Amino acid sequence: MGKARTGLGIALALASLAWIPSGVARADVTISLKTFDQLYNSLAVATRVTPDTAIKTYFDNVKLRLPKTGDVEEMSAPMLTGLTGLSGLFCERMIANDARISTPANRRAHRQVDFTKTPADMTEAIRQSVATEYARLFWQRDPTAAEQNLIVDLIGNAITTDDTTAAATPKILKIACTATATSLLAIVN
Amino acid sequence: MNKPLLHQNHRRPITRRELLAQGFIAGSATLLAPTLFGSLLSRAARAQGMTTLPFMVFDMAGGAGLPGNFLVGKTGGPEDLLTSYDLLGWNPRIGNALDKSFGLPMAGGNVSRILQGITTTSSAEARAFTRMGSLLHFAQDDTSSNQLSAVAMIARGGYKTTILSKALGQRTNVSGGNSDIVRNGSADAAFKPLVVGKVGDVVDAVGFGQVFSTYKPEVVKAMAQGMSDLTGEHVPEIRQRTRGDRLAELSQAAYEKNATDTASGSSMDPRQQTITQQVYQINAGTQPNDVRAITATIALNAINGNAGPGVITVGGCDYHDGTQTTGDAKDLEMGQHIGRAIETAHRLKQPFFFNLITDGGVYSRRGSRNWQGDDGTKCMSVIGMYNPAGAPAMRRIQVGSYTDGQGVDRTTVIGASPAKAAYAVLANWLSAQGRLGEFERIAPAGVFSRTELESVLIFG
Repeated sequence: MGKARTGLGIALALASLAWIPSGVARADVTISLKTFDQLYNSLAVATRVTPDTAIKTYFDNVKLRLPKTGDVEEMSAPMLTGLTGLSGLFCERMIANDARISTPANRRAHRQVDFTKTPADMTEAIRQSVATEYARLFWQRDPTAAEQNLIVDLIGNAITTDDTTAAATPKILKIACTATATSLLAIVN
Repeated sequence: MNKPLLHQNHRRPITRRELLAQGFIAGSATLLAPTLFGSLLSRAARAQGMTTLPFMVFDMAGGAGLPGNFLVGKTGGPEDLLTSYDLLGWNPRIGNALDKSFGLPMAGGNVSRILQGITTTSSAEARAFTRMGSLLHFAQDDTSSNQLSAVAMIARGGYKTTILSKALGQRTNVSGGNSDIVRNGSADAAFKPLVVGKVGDVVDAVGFGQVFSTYKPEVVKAMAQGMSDLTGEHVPEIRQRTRGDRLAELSQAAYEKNATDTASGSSMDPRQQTITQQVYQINAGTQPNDVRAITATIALNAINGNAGPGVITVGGCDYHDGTQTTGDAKDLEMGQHIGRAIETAHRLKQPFFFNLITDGGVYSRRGSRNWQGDDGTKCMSVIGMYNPAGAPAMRRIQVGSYTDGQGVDRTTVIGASPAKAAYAVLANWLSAQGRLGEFERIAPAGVFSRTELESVLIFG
């Protein structure tokens, strides 16, 4: 297994080529999983996070569990487990980056999130906007109503009685971000 | 009459079928059913795509008195008795001295604490399907430099795992135990077992990692369930694509398993598994660095195929302090580790191959079991196998021999070389799976001649 290409320029180009608008019939195209390096690069592109040492180390530890050729037979629970951790790291960095950007319009996502407020302060409308942003990042399309509801519900379910400070807001968002980034549509070509 | 047939125009036989055909294997018809690997693997293992015979090393660091637990004999086998065993800590000639439950006779009558450890931690059913044989060889005393461990060769011998590719051990040595691996140039240079000092060392390596370590388990589970639910929404879209139906089918199972099982790492954590809770007497509240939790983690994940081979080490086996007490305690401890592993394999219905090694040996005060000093000529290794389909058949139960001097005969194929003993372990592990033909792909050419290779086979 070769070393992952980490050049974001190349990855961006590949990602743009892979982007096909929802609704375009693709029955003639055999579906495949993203390979280990495609997953790595697509997460970097989607989150606009430059992988740091922790991400690279984790990736090195799990890449043997990620798809090698992209054949659908490589879909497995161990693969998903490894990918979940990788997605979580990219999401964590993206959310932290966005939280430091005071002008919401300049954020990768979370344009309606006030990171100075608690998770409970995220209204239904804010949660829906987050769901839409995540879907666009990882699925390259808007969420359906059902998908949006699932992400909104997940944000609600992730909030525990301990999450009463603003510091908990990124933590809750990471759960929804990771779930979206690891769902099936995010990991296929 | 029983000499092998050597055909001038044929290459020398290497596969089991070829060895049989040319008479290198004598009287092996009884081996067929129970030892063919296809029948060895449990249905669950096959369903997981696992096609490797799980392997563990049990390493007694310091040079334990293994010939005081297992019967060693002359060239005719273990019951070709030596003139005396008075420096080996027991007398196999007294009535009921031999316990032959495992094929290789052990010191019965409450003499062998390894035997006691095995029998008190495993069920009669598990023991009935377990067999052991001996490899008699010299080793240097009290050193980690004996290349006795076959674990690296076995790990790269087509060893397949379902989750974690690494071997599991307790020590930072390249072997994961005390004795060294056989070093085949660069082939094994990259071998490095995962050191298990606590349950989390394995669970974190196969779980979601530290990035979710601060979350409550129910939140992590909700996340995994969330991605499963989202995937359910994606399925109609995926099915429109060529091979989409197959991916949808695989995805449903994978995401559900991810949500219900792996999300909490519970399948890797012996404290969460009923079988290991019972066998190792642990529970969800057991400290993650408790030795029972650590050894259970290694055994569970090695035997069920989640991870690579496992290595469990008992330190302090340089027990020649002039008493019997210290040695008995260490022997008992190792016997318990082996017994629990056998019982775990039995309850998992999983075939299992193991190797007991030690660096050197000890001699006793004449006529007693009080261990007096080091003696590397009183060394040996043991290989064992559990087969849920029935007791493994054995070609022989001893490789190599001892002499009447109560020390190993160094002139045999493996007698002078710990590494040769390790190669014999590899050969037996492969042979038990019907894969002996791969021996020369893994071991260097010329380690054994064809005749020598056949002569070191106990299983398969």
